[in-house]
Amino acid sequence: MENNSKKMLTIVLTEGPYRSQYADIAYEIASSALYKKYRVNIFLYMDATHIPKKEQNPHSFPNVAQKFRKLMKQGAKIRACVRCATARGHSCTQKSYIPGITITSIYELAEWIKKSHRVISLGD
Amino acid sequence: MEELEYTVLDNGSLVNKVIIKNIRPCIATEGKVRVLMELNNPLEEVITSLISKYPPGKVNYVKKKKILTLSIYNRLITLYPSGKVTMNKAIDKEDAVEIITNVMKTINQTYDNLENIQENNKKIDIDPNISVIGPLDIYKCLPQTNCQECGEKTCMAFSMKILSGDKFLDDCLKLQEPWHQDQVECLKNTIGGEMMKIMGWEGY
Amino acid sequence: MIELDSSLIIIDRAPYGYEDAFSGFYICIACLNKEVDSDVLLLGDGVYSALKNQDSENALNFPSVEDLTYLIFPEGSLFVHEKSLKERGFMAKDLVEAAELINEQELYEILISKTKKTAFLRI
Repeated sequence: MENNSKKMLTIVLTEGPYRSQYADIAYEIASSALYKKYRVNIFLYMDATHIPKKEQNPHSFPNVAQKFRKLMKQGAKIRACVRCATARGHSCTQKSYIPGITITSIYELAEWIKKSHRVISLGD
Repeated sequence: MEELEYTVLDNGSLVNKVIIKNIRPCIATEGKVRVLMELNNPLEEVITSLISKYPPGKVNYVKKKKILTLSIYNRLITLYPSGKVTMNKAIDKEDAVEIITNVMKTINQTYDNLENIQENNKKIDIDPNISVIGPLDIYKCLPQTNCQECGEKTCMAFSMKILSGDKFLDDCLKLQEPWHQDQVECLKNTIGGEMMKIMGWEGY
Repeated sequence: MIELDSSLIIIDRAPYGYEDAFSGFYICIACLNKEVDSDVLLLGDGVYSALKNQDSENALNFPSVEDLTYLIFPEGSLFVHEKSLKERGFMAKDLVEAAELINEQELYEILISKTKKTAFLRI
């Protein structure tokens, strides 16, 4: 397998979970990339800041927060936009997210863009 | 955010008030904000004349839209014909207002001059030569001794810095010497007395 | 190490109806502040973001997207797709000062001029 350890992929998500499956698509892409030893960043923007909410209990669908927990265990960095998250009630003090998610400013995305080899956005 | 109005100049002939319309991002984690302001009068009349008030290297003019961007005070200040003004890299709104006040003074001076020129029936011209003047044109009017007294290695380097506004004509000590009057005359013919002043020529 | 040095933010939703336009301009501003070249391309319903005389602050209590179009210029450009604008019944004179109207050919030129080092983000 070629050495991809230096290449970085950034995924920007803008949609919330369950109503659309972009979070699941992001999971599949990120999983493959991590398996191939890429570095993966996921930036949660706008409604995507609902994705890492803890205590999700979907009846029929796969649990999106669990998927993202798996990604973090495999080395993905996941950040949520502070403006969008706090607007939606997920503030740093609330601790409404699964552990490992950092709430940060949009500047983090700009920094990631600089360092990434590819950037993709997933949303409606 | 609420708009904030500041009256910054008492006797401004064209502009004396500035309204701060927007500051982004609100979360100024990087210590620099972008500010959108509006002056109390449109700038359409003076914008083309303002170009010749700054060194060519500091000026970018979009002719089609009459939008003028100045690279001054370590930031970009963009003037629109409507009277709107934007500034990047402001520290905060007070900093933005302080800087824009200086620009407003130049705007008012230019506006006053406009009226004088119109009275004397002179044609207002964006000096057409300025936009095509290159470092060689300045260089041929310098002593060309590469004496380095200006802080640059060569006279050519100095002429490039003159155009970009990073050095001033007065930095060339040789030009001040009486036996270089021909060079000063040459500068006057190439860029004009007004631009010489803007480029930092104080005279003898 | 810098891998990508520019970004193109593509917005195809109208402002105020969706947060997308506002958020898209924010990404552009963040990139410009971090010295990453960034432009905004408005297509489809996104062209509404470039209409002048928006008064969302008074009418809706929402921040103005028109103001953001001023804040990305001159480091970033605001491209407005001409066909999308005309389809919606507007003309160049209806646009904010910084907007640049582009036709299909110019859009093509802009896209091919973007190098491999550009991040394309449709928000």
